[in-house]
Amino acid sequence: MGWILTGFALIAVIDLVPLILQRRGRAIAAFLTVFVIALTIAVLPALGVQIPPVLTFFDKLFKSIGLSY
Amino acid sequence: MLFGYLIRKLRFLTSYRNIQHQSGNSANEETKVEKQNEIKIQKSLHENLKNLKNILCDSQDLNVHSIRFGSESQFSAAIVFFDGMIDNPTLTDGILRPLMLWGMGKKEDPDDTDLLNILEQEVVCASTVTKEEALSELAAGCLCGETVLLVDGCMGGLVINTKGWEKRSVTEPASETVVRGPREGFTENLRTNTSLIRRKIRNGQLKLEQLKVGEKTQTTVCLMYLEGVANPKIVEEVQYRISQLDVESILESGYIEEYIEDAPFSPFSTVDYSEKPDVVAARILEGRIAIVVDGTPFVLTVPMLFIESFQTAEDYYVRPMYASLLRIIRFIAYFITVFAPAVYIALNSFHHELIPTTLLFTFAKAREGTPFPVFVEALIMIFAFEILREAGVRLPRPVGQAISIVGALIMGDAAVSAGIVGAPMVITIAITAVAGFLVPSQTDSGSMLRVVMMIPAAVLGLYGVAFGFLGMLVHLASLESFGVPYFDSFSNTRDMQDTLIRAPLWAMTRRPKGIARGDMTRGHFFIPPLRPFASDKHQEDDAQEGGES
Amino acid sequence: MKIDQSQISSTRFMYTIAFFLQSSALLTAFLSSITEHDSWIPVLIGGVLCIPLILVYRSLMVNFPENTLLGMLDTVYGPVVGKILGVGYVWFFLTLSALNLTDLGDFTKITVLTETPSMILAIFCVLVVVWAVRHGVKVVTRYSALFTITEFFIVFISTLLLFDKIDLKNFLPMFQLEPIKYIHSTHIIATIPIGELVVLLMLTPSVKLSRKTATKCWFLGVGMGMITLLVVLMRDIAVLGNTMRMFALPGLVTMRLIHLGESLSRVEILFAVALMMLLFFKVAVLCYVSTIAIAQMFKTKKYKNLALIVGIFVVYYGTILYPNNVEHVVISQEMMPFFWGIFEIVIPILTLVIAKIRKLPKKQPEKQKQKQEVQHAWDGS
Repeated sequence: MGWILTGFALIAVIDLVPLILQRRGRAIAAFLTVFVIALTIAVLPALGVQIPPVLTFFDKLFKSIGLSY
Repeated sequence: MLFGYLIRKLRFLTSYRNIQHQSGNSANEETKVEKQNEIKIQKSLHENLKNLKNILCDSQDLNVHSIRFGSESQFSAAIVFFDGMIDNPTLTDGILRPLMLWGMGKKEDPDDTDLLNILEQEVVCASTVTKEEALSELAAGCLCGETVLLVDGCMGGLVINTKGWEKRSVTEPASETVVRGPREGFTENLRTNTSLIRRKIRNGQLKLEQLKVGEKTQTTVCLMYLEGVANPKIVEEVQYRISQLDVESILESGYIEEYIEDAPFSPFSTVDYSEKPDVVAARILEGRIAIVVDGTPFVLTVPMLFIESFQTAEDYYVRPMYASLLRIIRFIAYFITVFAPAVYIALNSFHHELIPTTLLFTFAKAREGTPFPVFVEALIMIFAFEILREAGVRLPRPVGQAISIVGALIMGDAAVSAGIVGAPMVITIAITAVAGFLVPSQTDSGSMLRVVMMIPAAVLGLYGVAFGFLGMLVHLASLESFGVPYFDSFSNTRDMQDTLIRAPLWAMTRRPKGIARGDMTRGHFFIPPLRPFASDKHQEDDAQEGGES
Repeated sequence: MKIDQSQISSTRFMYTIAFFLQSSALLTAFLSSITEHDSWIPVLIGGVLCIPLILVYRSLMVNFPENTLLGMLDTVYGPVVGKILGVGYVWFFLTLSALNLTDLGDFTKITVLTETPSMILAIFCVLVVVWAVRHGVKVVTRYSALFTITEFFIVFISTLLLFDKIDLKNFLPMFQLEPIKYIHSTHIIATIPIGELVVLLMLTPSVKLSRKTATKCWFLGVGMGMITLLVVLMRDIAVLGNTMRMFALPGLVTMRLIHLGESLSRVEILFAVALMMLLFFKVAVLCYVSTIAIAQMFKTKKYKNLALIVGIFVVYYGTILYPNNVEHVVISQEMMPFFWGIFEIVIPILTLVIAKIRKLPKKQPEKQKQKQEVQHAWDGS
C-alpha cells in the first residue's frame, strides 16, 4: 500500500507539477482523470475490495443478448 | 524557502533550452557597451604607447622599439611585439630593413593619413598587413604574435603578420594508429591543421570560415565544409551555436563539444572527433562539417551518427570483405562489453538451466567460497578494472612496469586465491574490458552502460537485460545530432551499405541521406575494372611460346 | 487536430503494419484450439475476406488526411455522437494495451521467471514503453523495419531447422470439421490480428499518403504480416499435428523441438526474443495511440505528460480484466470477435459510408492546401 502511494505521488510530482507551472488547464484535467481512476484501481484491491473483472461483465452482457458463439 | 528553491530548479529544468538563447542576446549588449567605453587612438605616439602598455598590463616581455625613418629621419615610429611569439627574420628583413632604407621617391612629404597607406602598401614586406584604428585591435594583434607599428602623427597603426613560435612537428597520432594508411596527425597549430585538410581536398568547394571564441583565450575556431554538399541548415546551426558562445576560455575542442552538443546528459556523444587528416577529409567529403580548434590536435566533425564509432579509417584502405568481417567483430565486441557482465549476473542468479552442465559445475565450485553475491562481485571487479585503466594512463613511465605487474597479480591470481571473487568472474570482466577497446570512441559510454545494465539484470534476470537493451535502443532512437537522427543508418535501408558491412568502394555511389542534402551522388556505379590480361587475345602469346611454363 | 508534430515516411508505416500483424503470429492459441489442424484455412479465407476491410481503412486515411480516428468520428458524426464514440474508442485502445501487456507479463512469468509477480514484469515493460512514447511517434516506430526483417529471419531459420520434423500428413483430414468452426475462426482472424490495425488510423496525421501510396502501404504491410502468420501456423501444424491443442504456446513448443546434432538446442530463446521484441513495440504503439486519444479527447497538445500515468493505468487495468487465464481464452474465443467487431468493422464501415453520403471532407480552400504542402519533410524517414 505504501509503495503504491509513493509511486503515485512520484508520478504526480514528475508529470503534474510541470503542467501546473505552465498552467495548462485541459492537460491537468486529462491527467487528473486518468490519475484518479488508476489510483482507485490500484488502491481498492489493497484494501480488500474486489473489483469485478471487466471482460466478464461484457461477456455476460453479450451472452444475454445472444451475440456470441 | 526550500520549496521556492525546488520550484526554481523545476522551472529551470523544463526550460533550459530557452535560457541558452536568452543569454546569447545579453552578451551582445554587453560588448556594445564595452566598445563605447574604449580608449580612443590618438595622434601622439607617446600617448598611444602608454595606452597600449596599459591594456597589456605592462608585461615585461612586451618589447617596444622606437625607430626613426624617412629620407631625413623625420618620422618617428615604434614597433611593439611580444618576445618569443614573433619570427625574428621577418621582423628585421620584412619590416625594419625596408622601413629604414625607405627613401622618398617623391619630393613632397606625404600626409599623415597617406603615410600609413604608403607604408602598408609600398614599404612593409610581409604576407599580411592590416591597418587598424582601435587600440583593442592593436593589442589583440600583439597578443596573437603579430607586430604593431605605430607612427607618430597617424591615427592608426599597422598590424603586421610575423607569427613564429615553437611548434610540434607532424607525427603519427598517438590515439589512432593504423597498419595501413597515412600516418600524419594534426598538431596544435591551426594553420598546419587546415593546410593538412586542404592538401587532401584540393577543390574550390572546400570552404573555411573563421570565428574567435573565448573572452580570455580568443581561440580561433575554423569551420570547414564542402559548399554545395553539406546541408546548409546544419552549417547555419553550427555557426549559430558557436557564435553564441559567451565563455571565458576554450582550451580544447572538448570544451566546444560540450557547449554545442545536442544531448548533454546522454552517455553517447553526438559530436565526433579525430586526430587524422584523412579521416576528417573523408567525413567532409560525405557532407559533414569539421570544426578545427586552435591549440589542439583533435578536430570535431558534426553531425555524428552512431555507426561512425564503428568505422575506422583502415576499413576503407583494406579489402572490403575483411573490412566487413572486422566491422561485424566490432559490433559483437561492443555488445559484449556492454552486456557481458549483465548476462553473466542474470545467468548465475536466475537462469541456471541455460548454462551447459559442465560449465555449471565450474561456476558452482567457483562460487562456493566467495562471500558476496554475483552482483557485488561484478561491481568490485569492474571498479578494480577502471582503477587499473585510469592508473595506466596517469602513470609516469619509469614506474609503469612495476605497477602493471602488481595490478595483474592482484586482479588475477591473488583475488581468486583469496576467495574474494571467483575465477569465471575475472575472465568475464577481462573479456569485457578488452572488448571495450575495439571501439575506442565508445569506451566511455560502454563503461557507464555496463554498470547500468547490471542493475536490471540483478533484479529481473534476462528479462531485465532485454528491457535494458530495449531501453538503450529507445534512447538511441531519440538522439539527434544537429537534426540528423543518430541511428539513421539502421533504419534507412539504403544507407546499409556502410553499416554492418563495408560495401566495396565502387558500390558506394551515394552519400548518407540525412547529412548530404546538397548533393547526394558520389560517383557512378561501375563494375570493377576488367582484367585486360584475362581476355582471349593473349592466349595466342602462350601458344607461341610453347604453352605456359 | 495534429498533436504530435513529427512525420514518418510511408515505408515506416508499412513496416509498422507488418509487425503489428506479426506479433499476433506468436500467440495463435486462440485459433488453434478451435480449428486444430485446419487453422491455416481460416487464415487464408480471413485474409482474402478482409481485403475490403483494408480498403475501408485505407479510404478513411486518404479521405481524412489531417484527422486522427477520433477526429474523423467528430467530423462525420457531429460533436455529440462523435465524442461518445471517441470515449468508446479510448476505452478500446486502453483495453488492447492492457491485454497485450498482460500477455507479455504472463508469457515471461510462465516460461522464464515463475516466481516474480507479473505486475512487476508489466511495470518494468511499461517504464521503457512510456519513455519511448514521450519521445513521439518517430521513436516508437523507428525500429519497425528492423524488427519485421528480424522476425522474418527467425521464422525462416526455425522453419529450416525443423525440416526433418515436418510431417505433411498432419494436415489431414482437411475440411472435416463443422462449418461453424471455420466461420468462428475466420471471425477471430478478422478481428484479432487484422482488426487491430484500426488503431493505426490514429497515426494518420503523421503519415502523408496519397491514394496510390496508401494502397501500396496497406496491402504490402498486411501481406507481409499475413504471410508470417500463415507460415508460422503451417509450421506448427506440420510439426505438432494433433497435439497442438494441448499447448498454450504452440510456437514455443515447436522451437523446443529443434535439435540439431549435439549442440544446437534451446532455440526457444529465439521465440522469447522475438516475442519480447514484437510485443514490446506493439504495446508501445498501443500506449502511444491511447495517450494521443486521451489528449485529443481533452483537446490538449501535451501528451508527453500523460504518457506515464496512462502507462501505469494500463498496468493496473490489466489486472482487473479477467480473473484467470482460462476465462481469458474462453472470453476471447466467444465474445471478443463480436465486441471487437463493433469497433473494428462496423463503425469504420459506417463512418466511411456516412462520409460518402455527406460528401465529406469538404474541399479545402486553395490557400490552406498550399500552406500544408510547404512542410519540411527532410527529417521524415
